[in-house]
Amino acid sequence: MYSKIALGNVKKSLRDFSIYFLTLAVGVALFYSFNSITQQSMVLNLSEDQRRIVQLLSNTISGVSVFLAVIMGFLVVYANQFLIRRRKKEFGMYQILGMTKRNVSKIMSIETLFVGFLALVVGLVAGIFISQFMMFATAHMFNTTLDSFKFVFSKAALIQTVIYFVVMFVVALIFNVTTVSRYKLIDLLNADKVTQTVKVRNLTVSVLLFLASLGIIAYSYILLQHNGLKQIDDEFAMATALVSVGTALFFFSISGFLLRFMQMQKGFYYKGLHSFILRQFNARVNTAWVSISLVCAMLFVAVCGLGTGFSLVDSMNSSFSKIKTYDVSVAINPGSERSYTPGPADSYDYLSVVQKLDPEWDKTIKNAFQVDTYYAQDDPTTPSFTYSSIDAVTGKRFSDYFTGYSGQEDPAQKNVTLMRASQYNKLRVASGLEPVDFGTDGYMVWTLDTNLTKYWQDSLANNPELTIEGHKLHAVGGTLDIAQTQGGPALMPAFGIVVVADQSFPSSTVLTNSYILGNYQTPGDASEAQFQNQIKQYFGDGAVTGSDSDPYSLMLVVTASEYIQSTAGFSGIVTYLALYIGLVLFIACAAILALQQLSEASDNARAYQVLAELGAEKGLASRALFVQIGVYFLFPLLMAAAHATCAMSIMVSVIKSIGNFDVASSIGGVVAVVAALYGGYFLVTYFAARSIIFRGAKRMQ
Amino acid sequence: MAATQVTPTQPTVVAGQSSALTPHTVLVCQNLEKYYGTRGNITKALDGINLSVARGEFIAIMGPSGSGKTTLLNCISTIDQASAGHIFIDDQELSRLRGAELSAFRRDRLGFIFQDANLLDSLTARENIALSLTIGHVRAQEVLERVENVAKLLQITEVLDKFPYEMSGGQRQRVAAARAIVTNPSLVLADEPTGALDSKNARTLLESLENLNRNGATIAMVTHDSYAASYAHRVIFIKDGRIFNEIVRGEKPRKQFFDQIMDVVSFLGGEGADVQ
Repeated sequence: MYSKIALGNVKKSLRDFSIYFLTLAVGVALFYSFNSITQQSMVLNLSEDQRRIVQLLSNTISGVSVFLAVIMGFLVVYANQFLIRRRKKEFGMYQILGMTKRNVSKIMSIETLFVGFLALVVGLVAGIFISQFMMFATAHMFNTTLDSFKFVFSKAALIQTVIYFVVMFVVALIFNVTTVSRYKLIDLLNADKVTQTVKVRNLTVSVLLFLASLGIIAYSYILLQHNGLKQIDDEFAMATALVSVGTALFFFSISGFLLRFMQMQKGFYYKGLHSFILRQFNARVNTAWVSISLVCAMLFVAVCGLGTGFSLVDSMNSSFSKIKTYDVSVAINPGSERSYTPGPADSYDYLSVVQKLDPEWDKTIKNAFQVDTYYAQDDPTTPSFTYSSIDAVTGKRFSDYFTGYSGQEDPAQKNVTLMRASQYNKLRVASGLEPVDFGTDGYMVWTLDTNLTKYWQDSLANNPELTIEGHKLHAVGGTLDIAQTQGGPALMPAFGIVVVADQSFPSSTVLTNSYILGNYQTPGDASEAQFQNQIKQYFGDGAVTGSDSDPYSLMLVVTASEYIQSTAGFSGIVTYLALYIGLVLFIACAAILALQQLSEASDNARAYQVLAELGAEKGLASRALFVQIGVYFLFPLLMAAAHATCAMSIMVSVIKSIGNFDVASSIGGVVAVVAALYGGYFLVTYFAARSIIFRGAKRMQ
Repeated sequence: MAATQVTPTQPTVVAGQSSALTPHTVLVCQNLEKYYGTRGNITKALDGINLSVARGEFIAIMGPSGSGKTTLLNCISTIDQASAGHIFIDDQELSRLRGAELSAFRRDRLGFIFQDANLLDSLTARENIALSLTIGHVRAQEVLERVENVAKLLQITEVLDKFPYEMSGGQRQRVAAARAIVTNPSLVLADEPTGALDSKNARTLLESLENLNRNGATIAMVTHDSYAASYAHRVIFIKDGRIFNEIVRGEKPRKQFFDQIMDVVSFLGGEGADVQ
């Protein structure tokens, strides 16, 4: 009989359960699909390295899942408390009719388990469905293709998901039972008769606090910009503390400020339902500012997670084709003699060293060539061409642009890397570009697109004349080459390389690095496999250390495919984790806001009935409700977005100094998720609240 | 004497009195019927009510529980719809009104006072009163002036910036009354307005209503309190969905009118006692 009552209750109050059910089901689906990543990768053509990455990824996801399960657990408990509050009177009535508290608990337990079970089933089905699509994303991420569609099912993920959620339900159940048995009968029965008291704050104080909160937040942004996320120091801690305090103060005072501000606009305030909407918002936020601040903090993490996730997916893929310019790259650190004793920039023939190490080299590789990079140096310790030498001519300051630096010495005193024009032109030709005529005294700067690019753009804007070791050099070939010429994975001029005409090249230099770049005789997987064997056999699995007698101290061999796989794997881990955490936190936040608004709606039903009696048309009242709920959803999101924009803009410049960060797809991805998930929750909440409210006021319409 | 007085009479249309306004009918009910229940099991809540109220009149509707007095008020106030018959307010037939028209009609022509004041908890008294004007698109400046004026009339000026939970029950009820009449409605409908008040607050409220009526408001009040009813010009008794009796105060002092009402009430109660 109890189960009959319980099922009847669930059916009767489907609307109240809808948000709860939706959140559980989405949570289960996310849990399953992210935890089934190992199974998904089984059907893909992955290398050993990639399998190891997937294993690492799946271990990390399992770990993160525990943390997310705790958050979901809190949410489940919170949602249940909300459902109980809504139904206090009903529970009181059961007891009046002679049911023991034990029996009431029993009814409620059956309800909780029933809804939970249903959500689990629906969520798992959805999760299994979603994971089939995720497989394509995973394939894309690892740059492989799916031969044919295969249905993937992960028993391990299923069991894991079920265990997590069963534990959650049991915890929620214990909370529910204790909550109900703690209430006194009289409180249960009188639950909806209690007159609402309104928490009112001194409006002047609110206005002052609001302005203070804006000031504090702005100051924390400045601190963070200055810190630049370079190190976790006192400044960073201060910025974090201030932004937290500022946000809490903001939500503490915003409604009071808005109220005071709008009340001054009498024509606006005493128009339609404006005073009603503002007062309702004020009353709500005054009691809920703590939870709104917490939601804002979680949203901030979610937005940052999603932003990072979406940007990396794309940027990694877009740079792959460029890295493929050379199939094989060898980076050589010269032996100590050549790298410490200044001398003329003559090329040591490392290609023949490589060919000696690997007798089969010429069988697999064709068109191999060598390029070298130098520092201009008078003696072993004194640089003769540094960034400050350039700054002296241009009037710019290198340290203003070099934000990723945290060392003690002046970064402008660092050596500028140089390359000979003839070698640079080889790279240009290999990249499919026309060679540049450097004449006898030309120079150019070749750089990646990083946050230092701006330094070169500003410095070289007027094509200044540079002087290295007495040679006057003038700009040629458009002066600046931003990531047009490709150097492969080993040769990436993140700081920029000054290319100098061979005739004017400084005579006193040290060799910093040499590179050998080449392509396969026959492009394709067969050559790749063959060369991978050679790497194992002759190049110590990719890294050869030289002895004192060798002309090299370290030699690193990497193929483009290998590089792409490992970076794609790394970006895959970051992307999946960021998206996983971001999505779960996002729905958790949306669900909390939704539940708060729905619990408000039942109290609001009476207010809306009064409005109907006063003659407010249904459209007017609906609009008021829409605005009320919309503002409630929007404020924490906007604040979180502002914080995230500040943090991410710094992160972008940090990431840019090592690679690319696609801002557009980052913003696009976040906006899409916000629109779909957050917007969805908002609409479900609005319609559920409207039906709760107009159910009461129906007879008035 | 009571027996001769308390006999079911045909309702008569009584012209308004003691009002400076020209006698004109605000409310007319013709053969009003309201059924509840399904076929074969019908309860007649209203069974052929005929009634008219003149402009400036203050009437009370009395009757035992279940007599249909609240149903009558609900039909008049457009909260409920009659099953048969007609209701006219200002010559406008209510059953012809739909949706937004109905809302606009309620907003412009009717004012409500309930047993519990039904104020919005999150708004101050001033905002509560203003709301019924702002919904009707009245200019802000005029809204505030009219709120001040009606507050003076009901002596609630000092609580205008307080919230409902900061006021006494009587003050709350007077704020509700202010909200009801600030729009200058054709008809103010009061449902047991003194029901939740102690006798002192009830008297203040009734004096306020009397005062509003003297200033031109037409009031129809449902009550089961004879004392409250004695403030009206005319008392209509309803029993089993029909008008059972009607007495007019005329020039009688209120005390005498109250005794007269008590006679009818005890007769109605006595009949009930016979059944037991």
